[in-house]
Amino acid sequence: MKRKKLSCLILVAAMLVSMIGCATPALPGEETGAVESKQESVAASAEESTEEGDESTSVDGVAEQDFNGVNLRVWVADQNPNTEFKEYFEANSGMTMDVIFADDIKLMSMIASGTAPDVWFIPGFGSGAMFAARGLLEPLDDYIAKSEVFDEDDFVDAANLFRWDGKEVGKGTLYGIPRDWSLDNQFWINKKVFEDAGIPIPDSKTTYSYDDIMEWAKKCVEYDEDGTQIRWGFGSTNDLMQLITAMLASQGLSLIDNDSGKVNVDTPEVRAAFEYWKEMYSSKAAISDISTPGDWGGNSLTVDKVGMVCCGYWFGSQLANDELAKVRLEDFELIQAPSVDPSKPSDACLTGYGVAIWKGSKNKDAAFRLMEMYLGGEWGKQLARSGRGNPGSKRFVEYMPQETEFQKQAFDANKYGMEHMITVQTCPYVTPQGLSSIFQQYFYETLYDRMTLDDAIAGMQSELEIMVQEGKEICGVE
Amino acid sequence: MVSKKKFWNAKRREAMLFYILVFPFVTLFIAIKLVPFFNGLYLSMTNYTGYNYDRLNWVGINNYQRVLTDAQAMAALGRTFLIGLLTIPAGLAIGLGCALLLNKARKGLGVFRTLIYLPSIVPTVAAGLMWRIIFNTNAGLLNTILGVFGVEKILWLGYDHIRAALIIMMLWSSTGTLLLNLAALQGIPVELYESAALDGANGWAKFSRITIPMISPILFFNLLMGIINGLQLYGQVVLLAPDGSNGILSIPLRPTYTYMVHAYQQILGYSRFGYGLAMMWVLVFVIAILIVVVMRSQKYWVFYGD
Repeated sequence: MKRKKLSCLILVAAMLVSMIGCATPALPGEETGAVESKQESVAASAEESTEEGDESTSVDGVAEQDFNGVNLRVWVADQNPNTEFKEYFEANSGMTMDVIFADDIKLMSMIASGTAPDVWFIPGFGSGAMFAARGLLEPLDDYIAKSEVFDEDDFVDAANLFRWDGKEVGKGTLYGIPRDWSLDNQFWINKKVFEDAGIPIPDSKTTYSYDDIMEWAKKCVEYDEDGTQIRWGFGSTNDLMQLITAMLASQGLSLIDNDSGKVNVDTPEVRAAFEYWKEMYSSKAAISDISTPGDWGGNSLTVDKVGMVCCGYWFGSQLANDELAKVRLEDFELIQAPSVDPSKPSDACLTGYGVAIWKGSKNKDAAFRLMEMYLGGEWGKQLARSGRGNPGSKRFVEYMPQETEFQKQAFDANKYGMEHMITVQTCPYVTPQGLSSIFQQYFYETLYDRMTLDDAIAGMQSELEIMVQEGKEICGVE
Repeated sequence: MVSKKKFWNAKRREAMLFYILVFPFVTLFIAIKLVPFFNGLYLSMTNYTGYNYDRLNWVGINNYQRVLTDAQAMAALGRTFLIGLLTIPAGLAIGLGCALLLNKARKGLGVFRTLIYLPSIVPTVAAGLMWRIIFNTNAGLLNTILGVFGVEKILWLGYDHIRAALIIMMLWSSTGTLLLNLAALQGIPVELYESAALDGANGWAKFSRITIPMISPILFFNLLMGIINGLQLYGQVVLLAPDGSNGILSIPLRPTYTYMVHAYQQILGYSRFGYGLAMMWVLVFVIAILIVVVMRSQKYWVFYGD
């Protein structure tokens, strides 16, 4: 009898030890021993996400469903979702997750063989509607209507990049939910370079003109006594097509006319934009891959070699983690996107990564569960806390970093920009890469004076019309 | 009825063994080479865009007709020929020249052989990135050296000099033929040179009458490989493109916008898989014609010792 009791005790002790050992992996940023705070946050999350309280809620407050044993394949273009999330997801969902790092070609091969990943991480700008128009993405409206985590009214405007009603981007069915996004035409400036160039530090809540940007960029340019250029004025992660798109958007215009299904570059505004960027590059005010191999301007900003870079809020997290920049963050400031008419500020998201479900997935419910766990609940807050961009849900905005002066400045400038945010039209019939490629090719020809602007515009228009027509045929559009 | 023993005679056993041994290779060859090969041919006659594999439309030879009427494709092909005309013979000459120098080396053959051969085994991407830095206008090594001689800074990666930059980079890595040439040179019987010397032949006579004919099969092989590789020129030009950090979709400036770049742009950039594949097949055809021409020419200049 005693032996039986002893055995029972040992068994119970062993179970307790194993339960502790198998505890849920910690959420990012969570410290060991912070069990209470985690329980509080989970409770708060559950409260936020469920109207009537669900008896069966998981660690992030999401109603539990049985997806045990499901293997989800997730296509990612960068390091997110990371290993931490994978561990968290697998421990809390009963599912397994294979992260597939792949380029578009591999994705195309997987689509062709019917083995595409269940979940896709794709940019909303350009790709969202392009994939949707080709019938590759699952409409999310029904899932969201049933979801206890997501509320359609809670989505930020960047979600509109994933909307496509068959005619216009930004309207109709939702095909993706933003993960993190920025107003990509906002600028980070290096105040030291500005001061050296004698440029007054711009106000972070004022919209300046494109002419101001040109003037500042040129003023920042510096050469050493040997005639070697040692400083530039402008750098950008946005390609020419994105830069021109933003410039047109600030005038309330668009390259794309989805009513008529056309990409129209033969306009005075596009010509002016082409001339503007030609001047920026030919005057050597813009840093480029030729002048500094492998650097679009981000690295150069941290070492005072460029005055400003156009990339948006997300770059702040890079600065905060950069060895050279993080010790002097007071030298960097986020300012508003320029506008052709500064009295009418406008800003746009020109990338905006989000999450979507492959139409051919056999695990759509499970895939949506992953979206809930990744973008909703506790992990959604963690994404917002990372400062890598704006969250997809308005309720997580408050979690964006605002502790330090640097973070506060960036947060405020970003918030101000959001008040003027617009959704720019993209053309679902052409791939964003194709559109960018055509712009870039003709831009080089004009930049080096090998082609007149008229010829470049005519060549682009002709090529784009063919591309759009081909895309329409593929999408089954008249 | 033939007995089992009689049926499995030595000849049949040998044949069976042969089939068993080649079976893995043949299977893999069919699965990995032939199936994709013919699938590519099929797709080149469809409207495949990369996303519509389940609803392909047969377009026949439309894509091929389009290649021949695509001014950009034809211009790119011409440009590729031009670059090939400049780099292939020069590359062969450099490979042969280095081999001739090393063949004379009395000491340090191994060291020199390694040093000269090294550029050809540096991965293309690494070489491209290295040369981007060397060609950098402001702080590049090349402009720094030229500056010592009072030469103004040159925009190597700009429109005017990009082709020269590409050719320099390609010639730097053209020593890949060195080992084959060296092996061929060392295989020439010394007696031939001794006899020629007795007959009063000078250095040039020995080179043109003995060396070149004796290594001509290797030169022929190198020429074939040079044509095949030269017409598929892609990696180097993309790495020297203005937006070279944009990866395989980088867009080279027009003077180095080669045929393969155009094909890759069609496939990866514009999602025109069917058309891009047709471009590839046209290139295969062009290469095949050139190979036939070169093969036919060998009777005039390649010496097989018979």
